[in-house]
Amino acid sequence: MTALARLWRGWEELWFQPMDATRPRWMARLLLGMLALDCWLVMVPHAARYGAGGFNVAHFHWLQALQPLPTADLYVGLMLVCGSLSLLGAFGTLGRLGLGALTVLYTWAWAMSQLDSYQHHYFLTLTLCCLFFSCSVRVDEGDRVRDWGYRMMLVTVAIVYGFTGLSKTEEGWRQGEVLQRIHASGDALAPGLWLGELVGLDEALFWPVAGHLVVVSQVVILLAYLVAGLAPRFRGAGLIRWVGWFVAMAFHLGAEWASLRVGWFSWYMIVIATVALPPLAWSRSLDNALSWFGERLTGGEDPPARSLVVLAVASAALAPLLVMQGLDVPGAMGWGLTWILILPWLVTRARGRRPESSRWHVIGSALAVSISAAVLWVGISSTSVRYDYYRFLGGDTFRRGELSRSHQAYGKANTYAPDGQSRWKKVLRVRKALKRASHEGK
Amino acid sequence: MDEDGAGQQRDGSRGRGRTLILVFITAFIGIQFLIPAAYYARDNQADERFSWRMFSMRRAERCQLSVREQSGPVGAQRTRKIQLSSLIHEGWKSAMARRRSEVIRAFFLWRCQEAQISQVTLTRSCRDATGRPLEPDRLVHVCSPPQEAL
Repeated sequence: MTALARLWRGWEELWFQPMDATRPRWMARLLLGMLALDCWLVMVPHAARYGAGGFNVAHFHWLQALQPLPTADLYVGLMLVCGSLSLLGAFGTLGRLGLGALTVLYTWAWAMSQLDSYQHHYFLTLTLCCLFFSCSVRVDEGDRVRDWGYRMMLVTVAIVYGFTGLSKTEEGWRQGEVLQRIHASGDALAPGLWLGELVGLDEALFWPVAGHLVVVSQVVILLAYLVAGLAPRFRGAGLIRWVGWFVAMAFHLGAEWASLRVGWFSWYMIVIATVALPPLAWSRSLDNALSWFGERLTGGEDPPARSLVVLAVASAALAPLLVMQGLDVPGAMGWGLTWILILPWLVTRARGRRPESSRWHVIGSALAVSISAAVLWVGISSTSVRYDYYRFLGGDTFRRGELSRSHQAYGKANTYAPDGQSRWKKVLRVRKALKRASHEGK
Repeated sequence: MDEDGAGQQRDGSRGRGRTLILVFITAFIGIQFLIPAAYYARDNQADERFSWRMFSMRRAERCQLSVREQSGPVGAQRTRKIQLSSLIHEGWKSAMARRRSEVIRAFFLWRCQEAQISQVTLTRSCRDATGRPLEPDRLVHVCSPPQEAL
């Protein structure tokens, strides 16, 4: 065997070594569950900026040429659909085709405008691509798998940390200038300074030490992911992974504490680290808890009555239509109508499973649809999503002189305003501006 | 085909399948290295997208933007300062402040679509992470030959 052939063989063994399916399953479930909530609760409020003023620049030239001007309707509709598909994926009912559709739609949602330049959205696209190839999309894959898609995901994470660390080797970062700047606006790093004092570091020395430690932390985490992904049986792997997990927790929780927030990026990385790095027993305990519920829900080996199946499917058909009526955000109707396509596909797919369990799978898929509609309703109606969407819209349209739209938007914001956060002053300000504009018009 | 032959055919297909997968994995990982690495090879490092540069030194810069437009026919042209937020969403200001050339170019072309606008000037005054002022820069875009006065 030539050296190249030996190298290729070694490369093959790295990616195709068998592994327990528990980690990939939980990685998919947790990340997709988080993505659903991220789409609905974090991204929908910012939809009003899309296409505002008739100006937009997509991330890619070819996309800019192909797509229409984005609108709030389009963006919200996309986010609602992506969230629903993600939640179905978290329940294990989406399948590879559905995950592929989610990847494409989610990628389009951030790529359509450079207003969304959150790098973790690009990271999530890469993660979804990896999950597409992972065995985790099939719940009945078995206990031992050759999950190269999952390994690819861990290596992707390692690359992210590698380049993040590289970017922090700039002189200014290493000397702590950026950290000082962050601290200057709100004393965000006061606990760090206090810890530094405890170990004898005065403030002048603290900043460069902290700057260098950030670089070191990225390298440690990178190594832990490479070991977890490609060399889990390496001697010392357990220690490297534990250290990597602790450092990842400290880094990302510290970033959240210091308000170094990039959406939910830190929380995604915390979840990924907690699934991938600690002992397998942690993920297995989640499996055991889920199995306990699953056994009680399915009630044994007898297939369920046909009437139960019909009831479940009917509920799944009604739930999105009911929720659509009450959401009161643009794009809700588009989301509701997509279920006309998605639900029959899900049911057909579930019926195609093994005959002895197909009725349970149909009920499971239908329940997943109903629950995801319910979670969407609870998420939108019990948080400030609509309030934020309408007040952002009100502010932007006021600045651009679209006074009627601004008045309407602030009025809606008031409908959903939490206690003590009404926008009446804004409404009155807009009315004054409208009156002035109308007098000038005369 | 006998049982051995069927097994060999399956092994052959599996071998080809694995080779294709490995080629894909290698390409996927390779591209993920190349995209962020390309940032460090560029002359213009203003665009930090896809390079995993979160909270970078460049990101820590604080910039003030000023836009002026020259409009009107030749001989009767006037220059006026524009409030960016009166035209486009506030979010575009940070992209321009970070010198994203695609966004700036698109903005210039977009404004030039307005009749009578002959020139757009964007001035940036920035301070770095420590508050030190950076050299201000000015970008001037000439739309089209100015109209003759009637």
